[in-house]
Amino acid sequence: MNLKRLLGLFVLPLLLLSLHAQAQDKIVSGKVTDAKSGAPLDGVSVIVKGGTTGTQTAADGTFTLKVSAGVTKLIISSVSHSTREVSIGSGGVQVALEPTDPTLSEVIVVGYGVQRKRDVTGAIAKVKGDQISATPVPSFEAALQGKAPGVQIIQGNGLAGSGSVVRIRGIGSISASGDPLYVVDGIPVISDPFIRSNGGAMNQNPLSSINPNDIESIEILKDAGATGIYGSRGANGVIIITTKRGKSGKPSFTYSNKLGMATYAKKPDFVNGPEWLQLRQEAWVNSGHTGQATLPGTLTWAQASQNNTDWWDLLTGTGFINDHTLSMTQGTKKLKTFANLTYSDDKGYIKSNAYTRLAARLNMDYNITDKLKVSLTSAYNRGVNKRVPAAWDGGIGDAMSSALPIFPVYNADGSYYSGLTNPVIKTNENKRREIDSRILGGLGLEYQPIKNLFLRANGAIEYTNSFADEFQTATWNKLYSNKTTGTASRNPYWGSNITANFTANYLWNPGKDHKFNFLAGTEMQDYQRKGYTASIVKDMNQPFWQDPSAYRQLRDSLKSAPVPGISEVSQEEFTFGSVFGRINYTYKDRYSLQMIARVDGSSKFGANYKHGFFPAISGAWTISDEEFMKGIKEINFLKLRASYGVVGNANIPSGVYYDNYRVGSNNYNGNPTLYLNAPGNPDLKWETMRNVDIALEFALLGNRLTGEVAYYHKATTDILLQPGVQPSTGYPTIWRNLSNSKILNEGLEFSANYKIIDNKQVRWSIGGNIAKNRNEVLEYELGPDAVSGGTNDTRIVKGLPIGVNYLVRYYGVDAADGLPIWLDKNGKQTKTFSLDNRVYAGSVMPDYIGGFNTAVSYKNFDFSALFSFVIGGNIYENSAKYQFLGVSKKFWNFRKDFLDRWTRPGDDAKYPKLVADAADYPGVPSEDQFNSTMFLRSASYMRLREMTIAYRFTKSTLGKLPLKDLRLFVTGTNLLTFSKFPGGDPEITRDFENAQDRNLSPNITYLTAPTQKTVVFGLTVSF
Amino acid sequence: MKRNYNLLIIAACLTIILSACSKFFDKPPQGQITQEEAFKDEAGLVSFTNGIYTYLGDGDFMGGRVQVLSDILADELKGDKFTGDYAEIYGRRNSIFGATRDAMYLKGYKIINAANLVLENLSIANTQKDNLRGQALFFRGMTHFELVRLFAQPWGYSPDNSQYGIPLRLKSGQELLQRATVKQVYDQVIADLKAADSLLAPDANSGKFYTASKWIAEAYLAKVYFQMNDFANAYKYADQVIKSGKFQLDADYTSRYSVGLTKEAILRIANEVNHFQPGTELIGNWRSDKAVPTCNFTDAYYNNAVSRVNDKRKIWYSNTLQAGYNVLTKYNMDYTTWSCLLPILQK
Repeated sequence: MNLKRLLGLFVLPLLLLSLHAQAQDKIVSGKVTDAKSGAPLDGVSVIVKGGTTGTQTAADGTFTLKVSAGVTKLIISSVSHSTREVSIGSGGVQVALEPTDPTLSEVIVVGYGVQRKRDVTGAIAKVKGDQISATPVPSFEAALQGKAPGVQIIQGNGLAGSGSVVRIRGIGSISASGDPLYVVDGIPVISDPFIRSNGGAMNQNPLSSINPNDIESIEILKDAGATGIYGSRGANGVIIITTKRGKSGKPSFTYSNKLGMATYAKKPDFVNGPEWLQLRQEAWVNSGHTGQATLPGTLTWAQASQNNTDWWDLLTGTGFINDHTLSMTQGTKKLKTFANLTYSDDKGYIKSNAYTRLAARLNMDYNITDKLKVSLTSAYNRGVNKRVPAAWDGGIGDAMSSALPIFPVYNADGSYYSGLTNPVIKTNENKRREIDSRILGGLGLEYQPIKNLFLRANGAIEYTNSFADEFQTATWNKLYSNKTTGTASRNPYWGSNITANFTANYLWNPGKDHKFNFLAGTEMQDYQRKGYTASIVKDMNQPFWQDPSAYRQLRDSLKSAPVPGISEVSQEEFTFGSVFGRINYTYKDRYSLQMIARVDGSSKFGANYKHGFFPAISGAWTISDEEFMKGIKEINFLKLRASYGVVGNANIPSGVYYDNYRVGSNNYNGNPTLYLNAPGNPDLKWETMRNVDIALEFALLGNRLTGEVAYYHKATTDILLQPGVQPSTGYPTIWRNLSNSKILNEGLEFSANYKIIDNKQVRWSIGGNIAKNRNEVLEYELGPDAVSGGTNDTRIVKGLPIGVNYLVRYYGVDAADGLPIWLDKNGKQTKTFSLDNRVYAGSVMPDYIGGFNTAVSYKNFDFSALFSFVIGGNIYENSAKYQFLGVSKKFWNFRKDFLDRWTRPGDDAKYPKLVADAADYPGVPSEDQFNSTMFLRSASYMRLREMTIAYRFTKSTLGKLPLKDLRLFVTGTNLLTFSKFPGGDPEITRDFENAQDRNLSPNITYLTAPTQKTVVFGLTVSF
Repeated sequence: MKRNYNLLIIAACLTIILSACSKFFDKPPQGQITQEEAFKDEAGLVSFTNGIYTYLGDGDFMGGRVQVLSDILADELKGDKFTGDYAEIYGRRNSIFGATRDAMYLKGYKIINAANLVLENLSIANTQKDNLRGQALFFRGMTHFELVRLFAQPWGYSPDNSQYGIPLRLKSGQELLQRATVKQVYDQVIADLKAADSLLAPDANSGKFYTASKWIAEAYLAKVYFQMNDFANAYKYADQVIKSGKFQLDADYTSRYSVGLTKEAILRIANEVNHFQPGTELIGNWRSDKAVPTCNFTDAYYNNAVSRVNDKRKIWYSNTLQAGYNVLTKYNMDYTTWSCLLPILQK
C-alpha cells in the first residue's frame, strides 16, 4: 500500500463527516461529568425521554442535540454510571453521574458477541488496551504478564519482536501445542513463531506485527463456559483481541510517542582471559596432567595470554526505542470512524537487532438505515525484524559459550580472526532480516429484520506476506567458502486466512422476569500458505532488501528457466467449518444460565473423526440481589458462577493423518526422487478436555474492594503424541491419540483490587492476583524415557506433573578429593555417576504465578507500578553444565558463580574440583550427560515489571493552546529483578520450534539472551 | 413472511457448510503427495528407489556416520579432544542418550522400511519389476548387515550365534518387534543379498554404477562372509567381482574423489551439486584445510601410515597443515566441488 492510498484512507472519513448536517428545531447542549472525580465522561448516551432522538457525549463530556420544541426531559445513561433523568432548563444541561461499580458494568467480549460483566457465566479476564500499549515490550502479548490471574506469560528473551510462551491455567498437552487460540476481531490468527522452523531464537513471531496501539481490549477466555463457543480450539484458552472503533463526537486526534533506552535486565557474569587460563591450568593439573594445559585449536599460551576479549561488550550496546502514533476518532449517529498510524522502532540492546513496525488501521461503522449497519475493519501492518543470531545459533549465544576471552577478534593486519569462534564476524558479515506484511480487510453486516432479531454476516481476509532474508558478505564467503562475492538469499511465504461467519441473534423477553438470548451461527475458515521449496539464492554483493529488483528478476526467471530443487509450493492448508449455538437465559436478572454447543469439522482431523461435538453449560447466581442480602451494606455485589464443558485442542499439524510422501527437491543421478515423510493415521483427532470452573465474584465495602476467587479442574484425554514409537519402524514420528492417557490441571485463582483512598484529589488503589496450578499426569502407559522434552531435559512420568526434571541428584563435594558425591536411586551416597540413578527432581512448572500493582494519583500526577512474580518450580540450566566444564576440553566461558569450587583438601565448596574432561568424574559418560541437580535452580522470582510516573496538564494550564489533553509520562519495564537464579535473568523461554519441547521444557535455559530492561519518556496529546 | 425468508437463509448456509464438508475438510498434506499418488505407477516406485540412494549417501548413514563412528571405535584416532557423543563412543561410555548414534540407527531403518515399501508395492511395476525387487533386497540386506555389525555382539560371539542382534524388519508398519538373534539376521542378510545378486543387472547406468548392480550384491556377500570368517565364500564372491572386469584401480589417487573420474567404485552415490551432496559427514569430520578437523590421528598411526616408501596413499596425510595435528587431506574440498562420490564399496 503506498502512502497516497494511506492518506486517502485518512481523508475519506473527514469528508464524510462534513456531509452530515441538518436543520433542527431546538438545540440542547450540555456536559456530563463523573460525580466523584469531576472528570468529563465521553460516550454517554443522551436520549430524549420517550423518543428515539439521541446522541453521545464527546471526549470532553459535552453534547449538542437537536430536539423538537416540545421535549422537556433527557435520559442520560452510560454503562459505567447510573442512569439519570434531567429536565431541559434554559441554560446548558450539566449532569454529574454516579459511577456504578466499573468492574461489573463493563462490557465483556465473549466470542460472537458481548455480555455485561455481571451476566457473564464463564471465566474471562479482561485487560484494557491502554494497559497494553503503555508498556514497551517486544510484542503485545508480553504486556499481559501479571495482569490476569492464571495466565502465565514468559517473555523469555531480549530479542526485538520476540514472542512469549503463553499458558492459560497450566498445560494439558504433550506433543500438541499448548498455545491459546488468538482471535483478532473475530479472526483466528496464526501465532506460531516457528512457521519457518527454527531461525534462531523466538524472534519470528507473527503476533509482533499486531499494533498494540490498535488494541481496545484483550479478553482472555479461560474455562469451558467461555471457550466452549470455540469448540475444538478452546482447550488452551482463547485470547480475543478487539481493536478500537470510532467513538461519538467531533473528530478528535491523539498523538502519542515513546522515546527511550533499552538494555538487558540481568546478565550472567563470566571470568576474563587471564582468569580463564588460570582455571584451565587448574583443571589440567586436577586431572593428573603435567605441563601447560592444551588450548583450543592451534592457539598457544603466548597468543592466548595477549587477549582479553569481552565478547558481550562487543556484541551489545544501549538500545533505542522510538514509537509514534497518531489516531483519529469521530462519531455521528450515522458514521463512526477510528483511524490510526503507528511507526515504532525497537532497537534492542543487542547490536544490529531491531524491530520496526509500520501500521495503519481504519475501522468504520456506518448505519445505512436504522435496521442495517455495515462495518469495516481494515489494517495494514509491516514489521521489519533485523534479526541477529542468538542462543545456539551464535552471536550473543557465543559470548556466553564458545567465544572465549582468550580468543582474538582480529588478526594483526586488521582482518577477522576466524580460526576459532568469533561472533563478531557473524554479526557484521551475516545479516538477516525478516519482513512481514499483513493486510486485513473485514466487512460486517448487521440487519435487524424484526425487533430483537439481529442477523450478522462477517467476512474477513487476512493476507500475509513474509520474507526471510539473509546476506553473507563477500568477506564472510571468503572466510568460509571459496566464493569471492557475497550471497543474498530470500525465503518467502505468502498466505491468506479467510474467515466467514453468519450468526442470528434473537432476544426474547417473555414476561418481566425472563430474558432469553439465542444465538445460532456457522463459521468457516480456510488458511493457506504458499512458498518455495528452498530459498532463492544469488551470489551478489547486496542483500535482496536493498535490491528487490534482483530478487524479482530471479523469482520470475524461475518460471521460464526452472532451477531444480526450487519451485513454488503450497506449504500448508487447513480448514475449519463449524455450526454453533448459544442460549442465555436470565431469570429475575440474578439467575443466569448459558448453554453452548459447537460442532467443528476440520481438515486437521483424520478421515474417521471428521467432526467433533463440544457442549458446555454454565450458570451464575447474583446472590447480592436476593432479598435476604439487601440488609448487608458491606456487600455490594456477590456472584457465584459455575461451568462444565467439553472443549478440544486441535493444534495438530495439517495433513498429518495422510500417508505423507514428498517429491524430492533434489534429483538422484539426474532422475526424480520420492520420499515417505511419515505414515498417516486416519484415527487422528483432537484432544478432549473436560473442564469444571467454580468462582465467586465480589464487590465489598462500597465497591472499594472488588475481586474474584476461582477454582478449576481440567482433565485432558486422548493426548496427542508424536514420539514413543519403536525406532526400528523407521518412522517414529507418527501422530496419534494416546489411549489411556489423562492429564490434570487443577487450580485456584484469586484476584482483588482495593481502593484505599478515593476522592477528588487523591486516589490510591492496590491490587493483585495469584494463581496456583497443580498439574499431574494421571494416566500414561509409556515409560519415563519414551517421551522427552527439549534436549532430554524433562520427562513425562505417571503421577507427576508433565515436564518433570528427571535427574541424578548431586549431594555435594567430597572435601578430601574434591570429587562430586551423588545420590543413587535409594538416596545412598555414591561417587560414581550413573544415568540409572535419575529420579524425579523438580518441575518446570511454577506453583504460583501472579502480579500485584498499585496506582496513586494526586492532583495531576499519577504513579503506577506492577510487580510480577513466580513462586516455585525449577529452571534447569542446560548450558550451565557446559559453562561449569568450560575449562575442560569443552572450552566454554566459565561463569563466575562456579568459582566456589574445591581447590585443595578440606575445602568446603559448592562445586567439585575442575577437571580437564567430564569423564574424569567417575561414571560420567561425557559432558552432554553431565545432567544433575547441580544445575537445577529455583525458578522463583519477582520483578518490577512496569512503573510509570505521569503528569496530566489541566485545561487551565494548557491555557489557550488548542489542546484537549496533554499527558507526559515516563515508563520503565523490568527495572528490578529479585531472584536467586545464578544464571542471569530468571525469566526464560528456550527457542524450541517443537511444540512438545515448549510444553515440557518451557524454561530450560540454553544461552538465552536476557530480557530487555527499558525506560521510555513519552507524551500523549489530544486535539 | 420476511421471517421465513431469513430462516431460509440460515438453512441454506447450514446446508452448504454441512454438505460441502467432505471436500472442504479434506486437505492432503500440502506440497506433499499421498500414497495413492506416490505409487500410482512404476515411475513412482523408481523415484522412491532413487530416494533410497540419497538416504544411503546421507551424512547420517554411509555418507560418513557409519565410517566415522567405526573409526572412532578403532584405535587410530586421538580421542582427547572429542566431546559429547564422540567422546562417549571413543571411551566406550555409551549412554542411553546419544543423538549421533540414534540418528544413524534410525536412518538405517528408514532405508529398510523404504525397501519394504518397494517390495510391498511391486504389483504396480512391470518392465523393471526384477530390477526394483533386486535393489530393494540389496538395500535391506546391506543395511541390516551394517547395523548388526554396530549394534550387536559379532558373529562368532556364541557358538550358535544366538546372541541378540537387531530387530529384523521384513515388512513396513508399526509392529512392535523383539531383537532377532545374530544368526537370524545374518541368514536374512545372505538370503536378501543372494536374491538381489540373481535379480540385478551386471551393468548399472552404463558403467557408472550410480545404482546397484549384481556386483555390489556380490561384493557385500564377500564382506558378509568375511565377517563370518567364511573365507572360501568371501574369496568366491570377491573374485567374481574382480573378474567381472568392470572395475580398475585408479592410477592417480588425487582424482579419486573428483566427479566421475574413478573406476574403482562398485556402487557410488551421485552428487547433485547444490542439491544433494553425499558424504557430508566425511568432509565435516575430516576436512583439514580450513580448521583443525574433529578427527585426527594418533602419532603411532600417522608414523605408520607415512612410513612405507611406496605407499601412494601417503599423500593423504599431513602433520604440518594444522600445527600439532595429524590430519587427513583427501577430503579437503568444498561440498560443491567435491565430487562425486561416495564409494560405498571400492575394489
